[in-house]
Amino acid sequence: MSTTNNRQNAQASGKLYQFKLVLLGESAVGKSSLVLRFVKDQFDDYRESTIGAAFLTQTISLDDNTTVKFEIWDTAGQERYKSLAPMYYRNANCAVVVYDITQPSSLDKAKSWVKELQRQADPNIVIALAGNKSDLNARRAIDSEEAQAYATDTGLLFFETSAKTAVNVNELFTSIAKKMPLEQLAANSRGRGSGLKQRGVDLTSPTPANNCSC
Amino acid sequence: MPQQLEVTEYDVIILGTGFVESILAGALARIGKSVLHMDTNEYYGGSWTSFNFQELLDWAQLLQGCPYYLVTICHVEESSGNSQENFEGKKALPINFSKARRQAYSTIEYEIYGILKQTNSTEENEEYLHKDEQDTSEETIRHVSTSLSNFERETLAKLLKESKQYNLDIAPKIMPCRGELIELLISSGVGRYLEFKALDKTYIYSDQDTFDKVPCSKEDVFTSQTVTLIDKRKLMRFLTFALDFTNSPETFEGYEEKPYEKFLKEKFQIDGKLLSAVLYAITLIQTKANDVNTIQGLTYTQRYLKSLGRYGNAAFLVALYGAGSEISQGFCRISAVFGGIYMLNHSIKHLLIDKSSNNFTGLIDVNGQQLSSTYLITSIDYIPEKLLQENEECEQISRAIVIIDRYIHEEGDASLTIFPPDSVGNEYPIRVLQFSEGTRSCPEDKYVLYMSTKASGKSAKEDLYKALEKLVNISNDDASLSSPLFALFYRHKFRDATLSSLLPDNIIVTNDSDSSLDFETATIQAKQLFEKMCPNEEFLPAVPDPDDDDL
Repeated sequence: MSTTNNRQNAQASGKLYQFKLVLLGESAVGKSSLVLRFVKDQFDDYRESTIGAAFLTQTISLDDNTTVKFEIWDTAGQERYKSLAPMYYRNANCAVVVYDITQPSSLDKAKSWVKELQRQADPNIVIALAGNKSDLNARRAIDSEEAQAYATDTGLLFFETSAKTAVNVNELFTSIAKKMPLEQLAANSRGRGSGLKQRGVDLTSPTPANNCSC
Repeated sequence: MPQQLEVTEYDVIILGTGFVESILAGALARIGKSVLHMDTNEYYGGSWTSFNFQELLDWAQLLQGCPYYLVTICHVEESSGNSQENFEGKKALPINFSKARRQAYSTIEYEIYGILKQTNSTEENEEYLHKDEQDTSEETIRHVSTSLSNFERETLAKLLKESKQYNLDIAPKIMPCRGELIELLISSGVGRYLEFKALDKTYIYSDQDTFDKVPCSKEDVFTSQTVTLIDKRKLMRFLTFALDFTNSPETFEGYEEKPYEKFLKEKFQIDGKLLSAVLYAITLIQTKANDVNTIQGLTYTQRYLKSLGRYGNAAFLVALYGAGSEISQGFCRISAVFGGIYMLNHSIKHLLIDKSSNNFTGLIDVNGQQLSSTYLITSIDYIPEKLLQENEECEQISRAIVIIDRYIHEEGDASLTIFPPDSVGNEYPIRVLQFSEGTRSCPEDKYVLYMSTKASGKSAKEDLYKALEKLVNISNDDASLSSPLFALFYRHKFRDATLSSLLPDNIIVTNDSDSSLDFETATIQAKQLFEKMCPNEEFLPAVPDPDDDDL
């Protein structure tokens, strides 16, 4: 699937749904790399922690009439000392919780992030679990079956991904898009990610007074 | 498990995640400074934060004196040992954050009101609460309810049940549609993290127990039912002048330093109710009329008029979910995106001061780890007592947070109501913001009133109660008014630490939130502190759009 084409398709297609997607997981499991692969189809082996991106957006065409636009929020490192702002979870429609298949403790961390999401986020949030770095299979420390079983029990989508080789990256985001309850969300306009536009006043789009400027 | 930091040296350490500290954190990280931003609280926003209902109740009780079941959140961190120890040849001055916080607030009183019109039975509610497994709620009810009637208990149970739907600001503020903050939110990109609603209705209390809707825009003036034709002409003439007052200096010549009130009366024949409306609802002066001179008054009036028409008919916007907390979080996020390190729920034990230069060199945290930086930016709560000159004369603000079951005046997302001085025995204007579910302040069937005034009487409750009586059915039996469910009264100090001469040059202290209705003075303080620290750098330049650029 070519993401560049998707972006162009978004212009012409029928319905556009916009969602806020948040990333969670221990530091250095590859959260930003997954996004970078998905959004820009790039990978950098020596990438340091996330700097400079407030959020990235990417669109996926589910069919000729349906396009899903993700507004992807990176933790910006605020997760490191358990200081993620409530704003981060606010109105998140979906989340990708990432662990590193070569780091035994990272799945436990992922599980605690899932709990945190269940506590803080919208109860209807769609959560996907991603076991990243699947290209490092030789150093695997976490069985697929174990993670899959946990994901099934908890009602999460599950993929083993490699941001480096791009394996399952688009599949991960596409599955999330397909799992979003689109019709329901379109009908229920509460929350900024649900509909097509932000609720309330848009600072960058001044709206002149009703009439009569005299 | 104590968390040790990998990096122990920074350009700037910032203590407290309040509004001004957060803007500075964002601005400094944005230009490439290494920033470590810490807060002893487990939440963002410091004394600008917002709480859900349970948290607000806990906070109020904490300030009244720590109840037994809250010790875990009390951050008891009384420093051990000598008050001034030596640490590697430096002075180590102890910080007492919780004591400083408690001293900033006074006359804290809360009331829970019974609801007489019952829809659900008592049993039903209690059952629900048990199902919820909300241990803390039950604990709270048990603790608070000994003195409560059954009706009051029921109200408390309902409020706790919906606790998470409340975002209650402890220092509520709004922002003018044109002003320092909104321009900064737009230019820095932080505005993209936030959501806003318009505040487009202002009411003023008049002597006959009525509330008049204040005509603000020229359009309002034309359609207003409450303003006489003569007054409409006067007001139109004045508003037209005030919008461009600098272009006709001859009009206010000789009045510059004289009271604004005198100018309005003599030059525009504005008097009576109309004068009150111009002074308190349009110019929004927060003190007595005589204390504002003509230049100041015209400047405020003009700012108000210029704010109209940008986002519909509103002069103000409200940031959703609790403005102080959300905006602070937004700037902290910018800081983090540009490399700022975040550590909440982390106590600081000592500040280290070099004995010879008397400069700040670093601090010691709860783990005994030494962290150093060139600058320290901090809210006043983290300043060791030895470095503070307590100013007994500092301004105090009386506030109330009131949860009610029905809107006052009219339905809507947000409104402002003004009680001019002396209208209900008050020395200073009382301002009442009403927020609804639309601002995400409360559940759908509730409204929140935020009242504030400069302190004058013995307590916050005394300063505000008479105004509250005019708005809600609190002590009389006027069923036409909405009923209160909960009211919290408190007073807080506006401590201006910049006045302390004992502070080392490289410690930069931010002020508490002041009595103004908006964030303008605080935004200006952040900008000025930044410019002082980094005179040749740009203040929060736009963040490049990552969708357009290569990362």
